[in-house]
Amino acid sequence: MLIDRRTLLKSWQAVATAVAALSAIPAGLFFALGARPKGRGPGAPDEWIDLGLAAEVTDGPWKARRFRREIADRWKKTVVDESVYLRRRGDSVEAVSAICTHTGCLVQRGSSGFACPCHKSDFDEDGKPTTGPAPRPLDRLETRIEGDRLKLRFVKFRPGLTTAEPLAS
Amino acid sequence: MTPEKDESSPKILAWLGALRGASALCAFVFTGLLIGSGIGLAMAYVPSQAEAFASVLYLRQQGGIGALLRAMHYHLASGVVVATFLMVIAGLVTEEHRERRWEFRLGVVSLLLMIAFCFTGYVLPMDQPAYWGTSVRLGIVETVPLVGGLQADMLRGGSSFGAATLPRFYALHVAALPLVLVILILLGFRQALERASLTGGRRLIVACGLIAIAAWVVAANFPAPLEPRAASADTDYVPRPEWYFLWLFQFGKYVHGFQWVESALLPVLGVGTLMILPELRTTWKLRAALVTALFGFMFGLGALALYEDRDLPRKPQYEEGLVLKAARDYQVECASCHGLTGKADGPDIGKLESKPKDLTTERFWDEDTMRNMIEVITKGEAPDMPAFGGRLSDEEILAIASHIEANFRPRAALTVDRIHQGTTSRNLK
Repeated sequence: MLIDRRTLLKSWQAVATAVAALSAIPAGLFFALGARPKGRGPGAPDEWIDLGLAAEVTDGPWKARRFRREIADRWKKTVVDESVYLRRRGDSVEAVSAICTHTGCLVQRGSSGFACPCHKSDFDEDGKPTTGPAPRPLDRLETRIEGDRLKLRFVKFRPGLTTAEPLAS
Repeated sequence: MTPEKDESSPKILAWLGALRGASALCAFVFTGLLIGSGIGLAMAYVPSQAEAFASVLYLRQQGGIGALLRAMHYHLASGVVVATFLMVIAGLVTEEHRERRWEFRLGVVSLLLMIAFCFTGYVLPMDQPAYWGTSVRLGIVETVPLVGGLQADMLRGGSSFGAATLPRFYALHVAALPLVLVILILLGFRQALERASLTGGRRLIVACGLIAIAAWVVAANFPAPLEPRAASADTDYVPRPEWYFLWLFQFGKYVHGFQWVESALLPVLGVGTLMILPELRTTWKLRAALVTALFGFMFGLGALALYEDRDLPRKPQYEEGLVLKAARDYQVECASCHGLTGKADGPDIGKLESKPKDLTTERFWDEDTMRNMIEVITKGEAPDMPAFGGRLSDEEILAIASHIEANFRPRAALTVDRIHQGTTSRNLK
């Protein structure tokens, strides 16, 4: 035999290692560097979204509101559905993000306040965590009333952190 | 004292050695079938946010070999995780992990690899659990110290779930991870395979065949689930992980404020312990005690998770979801004018220019009604009826029309029409 077993095994492993190294570099480069698109990615943070007539938000507890927003997402524009909770405070309307600050599930209305169905985080009526693993209060969102229309500045924040860090782009 | 000479280690260790061999064999056969069924699925699947769910639903509705492959891929995915886990655990309690250290460590790496396959494959159908489960997992990835945010962005291809996300998960699932798998086999398991074929001989081939047949039988009898299409604004959906991750999910409920314990410390500690153990002199009894504690921990937490979810309603499959959604759509979109009972008596009826027809009269229903209704719901009708064609899929509109027929069509009209169409009245009850 020209090549003995041990040498064959060694060269076999060398081939495997070479394949690993050769493929890992270009793939890894794109995986890392292609992650953040140039320009604006999904969700433009400066945009005020129209939520309809401000008068539709009546007195009483928080109510869930679904809305659609158009986002520029890489090569296309898409429409995505989002949810927020709204409540009226005198002349203004308050908005709180429905996205749980723990791992990003959508919170539901509890008997009082909010409850996340995933890891059982509870929040009080002001969105402050009472029990469960949520690291920070539910994120407040800016609203304003233009004429009779209600406008919302919709921003998403990174889950899991004690501080509200808005998602870039 | 060297553990190899432990006299009191007889039967259970022999049994665990056999378990290790059997689970390794299962993992091997499952991997082959997963690659095969995966190639088949890749021919049908479109990794785009707009198309992914539709392409999987098409497979489901077509039935036949596509649905069979999907069922196989779905069940064997759990199977291979369990088999690899048992292989590692059995190797840990027996002396295997010291006798063939690198093989044992590659086994641990394979387990991580299988979990990575599950993580990347889970999102692909883009139904409700796919979207929400992956969102939650990415949320957990975010909490890895220092690199978590960047890691999550790389997986998503941006800071939120978007057009770049599915192609990335797909590329990892069908190209990058399989390459790692091949390299693993080249590096380590080639020897194991040779050893197995030398000692097992023909019995091994028979065993492989039997395992494969069992996999086909399971796939043919238990279809893969598919829940409704992912809805990113659905505050009613309650996401839950696969059954074998329930313990980790439950653990997450107790980690308050130190999420890196779950996302970084626990995995690093677990994998680190497994990697170091071959270098340590431990008795099999100690290792068995550790493994028993681990199983107790996992099953205890898993059982607790199930117990806390005992009141959680069963999740509807796509078809059931369609029926439920039609009823909800009718309430939300239609009832304000057409009325909850279909009598055109909704609260907004005064604002309309023309009053809608009463859906409960016999006159309303004839053989063309369903077709017309679908057209009107899709395209709208002047002056008041809005078009739902852009917002709801054809299937959802059909479901609403069917909901209206099932709930508001008077039985007499039904009878007349069906007789008209030549169906026998026997079928009407």
